[in-house]
Amino acid sequence: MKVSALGKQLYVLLVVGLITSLLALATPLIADADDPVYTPDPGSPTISVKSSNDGVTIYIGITNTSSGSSGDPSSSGGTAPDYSGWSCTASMMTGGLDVLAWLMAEAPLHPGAVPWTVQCSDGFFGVVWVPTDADPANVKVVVGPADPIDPGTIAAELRDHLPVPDVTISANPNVGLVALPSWFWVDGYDGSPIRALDTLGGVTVEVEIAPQHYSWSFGDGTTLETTSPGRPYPAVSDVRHAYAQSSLGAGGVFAVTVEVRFSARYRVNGGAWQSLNAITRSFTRDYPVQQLQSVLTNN
Amino acid sequence: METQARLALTSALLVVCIMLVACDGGGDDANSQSSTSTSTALPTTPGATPTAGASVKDEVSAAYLHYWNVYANAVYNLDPSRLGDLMTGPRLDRALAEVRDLKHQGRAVKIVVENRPVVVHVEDTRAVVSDEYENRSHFIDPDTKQPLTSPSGGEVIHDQVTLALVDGIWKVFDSVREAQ
Repeated sequence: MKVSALGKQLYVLLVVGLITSLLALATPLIADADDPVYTPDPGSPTISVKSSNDGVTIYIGITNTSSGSSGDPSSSGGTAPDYSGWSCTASMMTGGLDVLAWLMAEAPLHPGAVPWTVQCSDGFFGVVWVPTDADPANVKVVVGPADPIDPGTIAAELRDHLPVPDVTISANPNVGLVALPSWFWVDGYDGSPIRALDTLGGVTVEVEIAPQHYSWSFGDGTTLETTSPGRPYPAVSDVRHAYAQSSLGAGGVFAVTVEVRFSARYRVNGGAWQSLNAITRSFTRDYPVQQLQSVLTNN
Repeated sequence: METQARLALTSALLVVCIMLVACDGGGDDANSQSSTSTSTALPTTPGATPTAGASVKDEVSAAYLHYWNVYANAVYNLDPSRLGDLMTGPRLDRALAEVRDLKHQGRAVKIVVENRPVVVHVEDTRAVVSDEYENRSHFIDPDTKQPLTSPSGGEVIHDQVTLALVDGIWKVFDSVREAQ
């Protein structure tokens, strides 16, 4: 009876201890089940292969790390890796029986591709899988920042910062007359395409915008859509408007506005053009319009 | 009867204690921070010195796995002093920076990986290992070694690692990761 009581106490203690220990072990898993793993060697370069109509690009991405020199672990400060001098070559992988097992295991994971080796001047060595039908003459290696370069994003940034000329709206006559057509045209820009390019990590992005159409607003509620910027005087402009009343009731001037819609496109490394969202730019001028007064005389 | 009961209880307690220790994976033992599937038969000396009778591929494999142990120790103890034993070049630079960054963050890392390395290329002074491994590494408190994060799942990483033979020792020179 005495043994039985001691046994029960120990048994209870044992079970409680076991449950407590298991809970302690399991708690972090329960509390932080969505935590990401820590990726070893987070600054490791990455390698990827992209195929396009222009060929195959093997991209080696280098991460910026806050590294010091290997001889001075205490040094600090961020330094971007210098890969400007990297010279890399790629060729189809050759190997003997020693890599046969590896090939047999890897090949099913990369259908339609064969292994290529990439070697760079700094000692870099990597293996990538390149489409079987790739023309070796069109396989190139590009080294750049690890963050994936999206040419479309670069192109959009370039487009948004293109130096569009400072356009002005010209008119003839300088002061409009009621019922007499006024001629308008865009001054300071002949409508020719505007281009810019940028090279980042071996990727050259070229952007071109060109005026697609012009939306005119003459300030009195009348609008006009044209594909022409108008023609400067003395030529007869195809952008014409006859005001029905003077600008006296509109504060002395009408605000004439032209909104130019530019179509945009871009290409990568001289390849085929690809479409990009259009942009618009607006320009405004004040335009006074007067009413001619008739005066009757005895003569 | 009394003796038999005590003996039985003591035995049961012992079994449970052994189970708890086994579940805990050794707790804070600095030598058990890296759970690599192939980390049991590693050389204990720095580097993988070529030995007579061992093939070059075996030497490279051993050096590669030893590299993981050294790396795991460094990020576990935030001690970069042994990194140079098994690393050189860009990989050493990155590992030193990594330990320094972890110190700055006040965190350490328990490396939990299951390596599946294959030596795919060997030359006189250079070798390449392809390793598609499962990673479940996580942050720990640098002092208590208790997990700060506990990921529920893992990730598969495919690294190609270049080793260079430096003064008779295979050292990891650089690696490249297949982009996800």
